[in-house]
Amino acid sequence: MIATLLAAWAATIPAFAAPFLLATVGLIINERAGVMNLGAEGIMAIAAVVSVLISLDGGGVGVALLGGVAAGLVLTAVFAVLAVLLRVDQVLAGLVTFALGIGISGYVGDGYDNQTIPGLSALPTSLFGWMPKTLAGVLDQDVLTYVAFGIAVLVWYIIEHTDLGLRLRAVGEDAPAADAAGVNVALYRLGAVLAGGVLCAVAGAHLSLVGSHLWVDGMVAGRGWIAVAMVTLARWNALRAIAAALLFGAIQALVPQLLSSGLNVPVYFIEMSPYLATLAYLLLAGMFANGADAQPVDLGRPYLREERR
Amino acid sequence: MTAVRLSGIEKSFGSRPALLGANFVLEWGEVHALLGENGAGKSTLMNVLAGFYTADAGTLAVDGAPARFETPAAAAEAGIGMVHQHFKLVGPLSVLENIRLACAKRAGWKTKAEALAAMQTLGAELGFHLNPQARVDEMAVSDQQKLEIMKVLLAGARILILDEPTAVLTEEEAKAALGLVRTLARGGRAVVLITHKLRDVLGFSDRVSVMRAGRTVIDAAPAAGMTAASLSEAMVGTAPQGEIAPRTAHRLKPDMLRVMKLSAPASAHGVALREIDLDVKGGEIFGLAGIGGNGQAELVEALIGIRQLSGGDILFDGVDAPPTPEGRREAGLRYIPADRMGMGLFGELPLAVNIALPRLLGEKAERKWLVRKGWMNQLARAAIADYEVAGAAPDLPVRLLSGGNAQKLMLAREFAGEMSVLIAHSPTRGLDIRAVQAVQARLRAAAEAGVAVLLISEDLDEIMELSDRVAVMSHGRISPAEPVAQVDRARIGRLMLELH
Repeated sequence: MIATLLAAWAATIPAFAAPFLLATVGLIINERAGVMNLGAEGIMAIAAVVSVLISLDGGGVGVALLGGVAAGLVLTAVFAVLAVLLRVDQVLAGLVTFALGIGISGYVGDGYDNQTIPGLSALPTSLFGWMPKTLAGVLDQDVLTYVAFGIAVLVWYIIEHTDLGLRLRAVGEDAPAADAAGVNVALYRLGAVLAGGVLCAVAGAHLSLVGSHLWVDGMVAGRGWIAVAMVTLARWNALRAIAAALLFGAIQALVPQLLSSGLNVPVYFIEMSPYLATLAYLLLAGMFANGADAQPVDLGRPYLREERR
Repeated sequence: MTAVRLSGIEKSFGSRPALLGANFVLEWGEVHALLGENGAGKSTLMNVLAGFYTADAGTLAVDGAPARFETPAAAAEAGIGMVHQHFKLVGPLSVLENIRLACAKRAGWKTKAEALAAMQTLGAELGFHLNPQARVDEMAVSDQQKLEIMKVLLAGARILILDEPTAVLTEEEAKAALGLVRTLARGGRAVVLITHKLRDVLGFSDRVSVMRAGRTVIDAAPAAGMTAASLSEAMVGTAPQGEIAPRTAHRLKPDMLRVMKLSAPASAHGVALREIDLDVKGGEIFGLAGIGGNGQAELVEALIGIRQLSGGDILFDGVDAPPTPEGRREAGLRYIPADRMGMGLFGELPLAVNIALPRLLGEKAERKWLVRKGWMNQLARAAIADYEVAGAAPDLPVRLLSGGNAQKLMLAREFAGEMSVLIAHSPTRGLDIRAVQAVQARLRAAAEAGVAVLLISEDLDEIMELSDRVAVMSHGRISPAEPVAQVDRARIGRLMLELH
């Protein structure tokens, strides 16, 4: 009985972890370049709703995904213009992006609530037939979830091991010094913000295409905010983000398991568990000053070359 | 063979001119010292050469061909590299990463291994042994400097500009660095050494140029023919002597501000205070001359109580100074900071709040918890009238005042209440002539009223004009004070450059 429950739980973890992972990795790209984007939640919402609308209109999964990403990218561009080009306070620009995303997604999704779409389903079970059952259950995921984990590894490699990543880190750690070394600070930040926005949008599309197969207003439900906190938990490292995402995915995956198990726990308490986990992490991080040294030095600091300061 | 020729370079920042027709000629194979006081324009001129600033007027030629660099990258392309006083390194990255970041494109490295090999070859040639994996912000300053020099050379520089390379180094490190600089020049490169130190000029340079107030006053003279006296005179100029107005001798109160063996460790890019003794009497202006960045800011912070000491005592009127800044203020200490808007006034807050804030300390607040706007405005109006602050109103944000009027406001605030010791750090810097006179008159009046005034200034003319006694600060030390009448200007200039 317990073993079956655990196996069922484990099999749902990757799909719950993938949106966290995509958004967290996207935000890591942003923050390693020195830009804090608090608009992730809004970008995810826009991408989620647009993907559903395209699916309802008869578009295939690929088209729906691309459409969702494009919509998320447009919203990210608003943030990029504010935060990078106009050097508006990044916290404010992020909150504006968040509010815009939530507002617009609610507006365009109005009337399309709870209409199911085919979405993206897991790979054929037959592919995994030769494996032990539990392992097969964990590995039998959809393509987008696999892509999420692949992207995390790829982003880690690019940031830590290529010249492109080196310049990105330099921009985030010390923009004036990077500028002096001939790195175009605004260009790198712009690129990082847009790339990060794309990943946040994919995360949002994953929620509706893989997770729920429908749109409900408010369905992102704070995952974008949790991703912001997970960047710190992962200490700005995309590989550690995989571990963090699996942890939060596991907690999130507990919710349906607990609800269906018939345990007498208040449902709101169960649904609160991811946020309680975030709170617990932040408390621990505060007590042990975890991650403070890994934070990019110029995070959140707009850069304008001046002749004399 | 001429490497660089700069002629008639002019450059202004806003309405403030920094260069007024400066010239500079650099030959291949030489170490060329560029000497001058702070603000003389040395760094500005070299920043023009290195593409960080563009000149408003004048011509620039490299290897005889006219050039104009809009960006540092364009100057680097022409083989010009500058090592700044404040290093342009990315602290959290490693040595090798910093080198790749700065040079990979220009040197054409494809892989990390290529970069590592190039770095190690140059390191062996120069005798540097830096760990390529070390995090830069955990290395000693002298190693960071070596890294900067390597970066510039690996990027292909043949013309090297070093901005005060010895300022951050110990004596031994400085000698090693200067020796290296000579080696580089003998190898066919051209090196500019921006410096304040006579040792760098007389011991390690082939030729020397001196700048004063935006102009070149000694243009590429052989260093061999120079003496400490001729250089320091060129640097600080000759002022009309004997114009020092005899101050009315008033009663001096000894020991109003006494500092004994005061020491404090250096912070990043800072200077350590080394056993400073100071005795400022009530009723005198004590002038502390010296080139900025030699510990003045640290001394001021120690005196007002915001810097941790490693030893020594500060006494006000014979008793130990209170430990906190508030306590010292209540004991009669007042402070006019060099950076008015940073350490002094709240630019975004209205004038009335700026004036009223210090009076909320201690028991002086008119009521215990509430602050009446009328009371603040009344204080502000009185200050505006007394100190002739032009263009002011009680509800005006202070940042909208001009420099001179903001400084008058600063004085009005600091002079209020019982003042016994006044520290004035560059109180007239950046002010127009009328504001300068007003501020100086207030300082004199304070001294005449019995206040012990410590005037810290980089402007030697001002020190000589206002002070009763003069000392020089250099490298975190202070020379013995002398009565102003006995002071020899040239000797002060030498002390500013040499004191160790």
